[in-house]
Amino acid sequence: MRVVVNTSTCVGGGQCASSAETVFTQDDQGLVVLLKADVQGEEAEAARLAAFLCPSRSITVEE
Amino acid sequence: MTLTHEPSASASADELPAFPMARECPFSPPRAYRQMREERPVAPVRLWNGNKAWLVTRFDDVRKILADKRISNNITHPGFPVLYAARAAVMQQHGKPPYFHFMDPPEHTEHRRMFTQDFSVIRVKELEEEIQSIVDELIDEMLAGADRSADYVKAIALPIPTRVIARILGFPYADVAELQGMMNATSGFGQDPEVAKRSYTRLNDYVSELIARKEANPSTDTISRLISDQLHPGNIDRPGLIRVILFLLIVGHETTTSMIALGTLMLLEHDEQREKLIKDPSLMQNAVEELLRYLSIVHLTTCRVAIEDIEIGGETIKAGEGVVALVSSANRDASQFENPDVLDIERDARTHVAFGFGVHQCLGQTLARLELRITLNSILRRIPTLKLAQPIDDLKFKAYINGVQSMTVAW
Repeated sequence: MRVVVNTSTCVGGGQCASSAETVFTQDDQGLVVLLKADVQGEEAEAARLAAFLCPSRSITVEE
Repeated sequence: MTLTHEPSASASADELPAFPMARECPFSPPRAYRQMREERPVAPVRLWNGNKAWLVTRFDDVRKILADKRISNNITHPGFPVLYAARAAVMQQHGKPPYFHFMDPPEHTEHRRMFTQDFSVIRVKELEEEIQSIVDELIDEMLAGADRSADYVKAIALPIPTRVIARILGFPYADVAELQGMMNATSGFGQDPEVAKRSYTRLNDYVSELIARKEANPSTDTISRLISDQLHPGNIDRPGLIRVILFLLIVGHETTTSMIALGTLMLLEHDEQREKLIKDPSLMQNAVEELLRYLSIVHLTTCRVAIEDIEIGGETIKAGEGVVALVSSANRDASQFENPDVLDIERDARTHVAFGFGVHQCLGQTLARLELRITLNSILRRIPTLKLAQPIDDLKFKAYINGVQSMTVAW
């Protein structure tokens, strides 16, 4: 599964970094940073949840 | 823009049910929401000033509407559903949104990004030890009291988040009690609009002086950083900075206070759930999500106005009409949460919308979660005999942000 993030719409809520900490982190402004674009298994599951939780819809996953 | 939140005679709205609706149980949303979810998930209601607004009650629709770009959070829009008179009065005094929360992108995004860094997962994690010592100290003080009894709100629920946010922002803690009185007078049902306006002016004056003191003696706190990074380069003007600081102080403690008090009360009232947590503290993170879902204390603030026509739930919300996305109803929607009216700390409640949804979702949610986890863990570990020491029916609740005014506990 491939993960794509859009920093221009990110509002820095941090739910991605909390729910999938090996896939996402935040930069020094608090905005999303993608650590891994290709994820499998548990990480894919966590990234799917992060995409669902993202309030600004700045995360998309391509199966 | 002209502000028209004054009572208006709207003939078509006269026959509609009044909103907000009364709760039958202080810990659950009005029963009418359930019927609306099943029968008319997007339903019109009448506000205090006679204006009409739409309630959105289903989980999917609440998320959709709060993330919709055709929806505005501009409180100065004439169609914006303002829920009580004191808020309308403060709004009119200003003629512009008092807090950036009530702006839309791109203006909202610019403001919010000034301090997303202060509430990031990494920064909040750095505060863990400090929050733990604040919690330990306040529990020590409570336990040192004379008669093995205390007002839990005054001893624990209010001072913990207040000390934490005062520390992050750089407010002198000694001033916070007085500020709280002023803040309470500016919002909530039944507040005198004139008192609300005067209190708002006094709060502005206080923060203005605080900014001047920080300019003279900068520190490492958020206010000092906002002065050097945002005020001095001209990214924000002085009145704007005052509003931002006041907003952070208010949202940084009131809601967390409510969640600590009501969250503790729920664990005291549900013996089986509490025993599970005492036996296995690793369930706490899950329990916090479930308490957030179940209580949904911020149940009336997700008001919006449509700026284009929107088709949703079989209805058309017309441009200029008000919308209230009921997160407390979404969090009790059986299509998302099985047996939604049961408190179950072992369920996966992570998809709840207790912090809202869309670009205005709570910025301090990571901090709130950490404060809740540390506080509830520490209380259960250190005072396993804690119990409510007054009849539950005698508790006095707060209506706008759901909460309890005081709560006598004993151990």
